[in-house]
Amino acid sequence: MDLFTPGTGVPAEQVHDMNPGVLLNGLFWTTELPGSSFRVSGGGTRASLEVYGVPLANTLVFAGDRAIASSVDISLDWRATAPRELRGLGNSVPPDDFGAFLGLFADARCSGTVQGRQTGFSFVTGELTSDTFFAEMGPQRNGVFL
Amino acid sequence: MHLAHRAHAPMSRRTFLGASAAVAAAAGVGIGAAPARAQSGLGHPANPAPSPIAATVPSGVTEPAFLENIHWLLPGPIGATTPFIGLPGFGLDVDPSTMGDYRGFTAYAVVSGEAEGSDGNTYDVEFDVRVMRGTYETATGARFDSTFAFL
Repeated sequence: MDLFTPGTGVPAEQVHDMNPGVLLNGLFWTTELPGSSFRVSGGGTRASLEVYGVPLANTLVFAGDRAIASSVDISLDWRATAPRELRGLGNSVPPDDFGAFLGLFADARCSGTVQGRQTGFSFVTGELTSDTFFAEMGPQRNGVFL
Repeated sequence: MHLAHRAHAPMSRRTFLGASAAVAAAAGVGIGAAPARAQSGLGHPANPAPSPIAATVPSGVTEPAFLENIHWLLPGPIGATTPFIGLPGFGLDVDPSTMGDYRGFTAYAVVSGEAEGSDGNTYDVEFDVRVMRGTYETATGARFDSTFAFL
């Protein structure tokens, strides 16, 4: 969850970087959530994430030396905008290839809001959307499941 | 009561707890019927044991140098860039999961917009979010069901 000073170009000047940290095996910015926080419906054409108080560390910038205890509330919805299509190259490429997975993904639109807080600072977003880049959703498998 | 994951084998306290979660879900008090507010499960006294660590995806970026050894990829159309960091999409045949040895349902997005800070300032926001629900296999070969998110 990254916040930037407006009008500072691309890449913009970053002022907050709230993330779950990196686990000892290298699992990157990935944390467990309650199962009840994520719902998939409409035959996989809709999904929602509603979770409150996810503990994160605010390193202020990417891989910053500081780590300030913070938390976020996330409310996001995904809606498929196209039919599913096969993505990934499976076992036809080496395991460390970017395409070493198989999935049936549909392009999607994601929108919603996030609130965050730490001692001395909080923020609330307006509507965030994936309109400026990309979103997708669907079943997938990788690694030993290929 | 929230129990986040279910082990496949062997039978253990974790397996028992997972089975209890399935029962709770069937009864409409677990996964199938969300409470009004789903609190993060981490550190909650009702979460009696940590989940085993999932594997990383073996791939990762090597450039630019500040991203080296990061087990993370960026699905997105070739030629598109994220709005404020300016990272380029790697293409669509790119694994959105940060977990390896994983099978499940993944929802991925890079969302952007604005935020109002308590300091009175307005900020630009870029948020790469991925939710991964399904089964993962640990380094010991044990399999677990859970929900993870890259945030």
